[in-house]
Amino acid sequence: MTYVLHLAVMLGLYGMLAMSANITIGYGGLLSLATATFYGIGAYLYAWLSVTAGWPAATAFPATIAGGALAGGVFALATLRFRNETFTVATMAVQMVAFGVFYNWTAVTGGPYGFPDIVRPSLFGFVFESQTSFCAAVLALCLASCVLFRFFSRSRFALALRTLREDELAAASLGIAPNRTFAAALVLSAMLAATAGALFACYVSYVDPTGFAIGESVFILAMLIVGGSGNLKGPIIGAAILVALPEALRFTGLPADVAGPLREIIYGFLLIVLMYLKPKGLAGDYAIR
Amino acid sequence: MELLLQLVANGLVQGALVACLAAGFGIVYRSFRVFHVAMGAQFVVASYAFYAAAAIAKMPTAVAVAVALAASAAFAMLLEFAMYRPFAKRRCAGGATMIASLGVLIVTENVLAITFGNEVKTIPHAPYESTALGAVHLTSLQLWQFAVCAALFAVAGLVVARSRTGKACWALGDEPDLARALRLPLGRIRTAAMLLGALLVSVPALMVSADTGMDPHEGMRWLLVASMAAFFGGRDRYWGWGAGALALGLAQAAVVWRLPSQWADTVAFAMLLGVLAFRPRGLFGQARRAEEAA
Repeated sequence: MTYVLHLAVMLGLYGMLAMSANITIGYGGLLSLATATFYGIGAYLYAWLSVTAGWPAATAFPATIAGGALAGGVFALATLRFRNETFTVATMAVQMVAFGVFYNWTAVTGGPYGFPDIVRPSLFGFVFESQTSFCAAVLALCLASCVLFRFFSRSRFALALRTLREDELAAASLGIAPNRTFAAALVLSAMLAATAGALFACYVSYVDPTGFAIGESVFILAMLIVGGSGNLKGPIIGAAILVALPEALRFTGLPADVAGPLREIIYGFLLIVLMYLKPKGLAGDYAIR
Repeated sequence: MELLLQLVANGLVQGALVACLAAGFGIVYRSFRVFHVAMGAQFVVASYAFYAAAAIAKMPTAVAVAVALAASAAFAMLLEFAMYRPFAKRRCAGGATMIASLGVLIVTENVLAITFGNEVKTIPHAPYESTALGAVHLTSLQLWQFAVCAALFAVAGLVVARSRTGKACWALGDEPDLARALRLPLGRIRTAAMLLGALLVSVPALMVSADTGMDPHEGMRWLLVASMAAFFGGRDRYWGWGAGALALGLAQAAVVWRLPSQWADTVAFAMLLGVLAFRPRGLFGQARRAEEAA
């Protein structure tokens, strides 16, 4: 049962991360490889606020989301000067810089030793201590994100983003401000990823930098590629498939040092084959350009 | 002051290595208009082929180098014929090809991880002797790295600038359809670009792995180093890529001068990104009209 709950938590977290990347990549058409940066910022900021600064969860959570928004704004300033491949390189550089900071700023993040002793949050006196209650909280937040995402996807804002994605010059001539709209999308996406990061920090009670390297960003991108992007269901399907894949391999009885790389080999092949045969993914509306 | 000189010398060596990598990335990027993520795979394939030949099969160094270069060329051809060319024929979008190329990097590094293990592998060698140039000390390997890579970068640059094939590569990148209409031998041009790219990536790869060893997951870092240098210098300018590489090497040296060395990558990338924000097309990039800009 704990195993099923663990899978459900992972699915909830990666569902949120995939949705976060979907705003930037699927709606904005900006191929970012920095999703894990905001995931990590959320995790470390929450850890620092709740453990080092001793804030209660009721203030630390909103503060983490606000911090994520701020980071997203800075990120937008640094990267929105670029488009296409140059944008992707810039996001990779940001991801590299963020990882360097997580890894080397030992005074705050604990560096390679990680940040221990993060406790489960409590709200109005109720502590989400048990696996069941925490899983319910994560799934509830993921569901809430889905509902919000549905509002987002039907809004003028999402329409503006999709227009920019299809033709930036034409969109600008219709009075859509490209950089302002993209920046809002990056901020929104960063807030969602930071929320997932804070939840992750509470869940595992210990964060270390390896979980927020560029490989994690690629993994989240792979969810959008496999499931598809530009709508609500694609990223969720992709997250479900890629979270389930290592579990399926677990039953083959391969040793861990083969099963781990094998999982990555399978999803690497999935990326190649899908990009050739089905660039919209299994259930997506947007084919990556 | 002596420390600074030493760091500048290290930065120049690093710059020469990165210049070759940036050119290896850039030639494929510039000719195919594909973000050549698999360049990272090319790097680790060359390194591990070298390792297998030199450390496992115990071949003499010259033979091992030849084996590694051959393996790297074979990998480049596999990449071209099994992936890039079919993708180009199908007219797949640049982003889609880039993600497939990312898939190649992921598959390659994990196949190597299963075959050789995840830990760092080094090639046993006698200690490299140190040479003093005034106040600066460089190992013999570092001198080789600088000389070979600088020469290779310069020669490849002349080939690209002067030869018909080199010009055709640039033309293919600018106007792929026009290149087809002019009946340029596209297959041969693409093969030449891939092979030259593979050579430019493999030589520094071998020299780095002979020095500090290799691990299967380092490809992504080298890809970022190479692409950052190429875009920083100006993505359409061959000599600009060299300038970008030099800037990156010297920026890393400048960081190490004042900060602990583990910050070198982090701060150097941040510095380059900061400068690039003011010159989005790179130091030597050309301005484009809005509808051409990308």
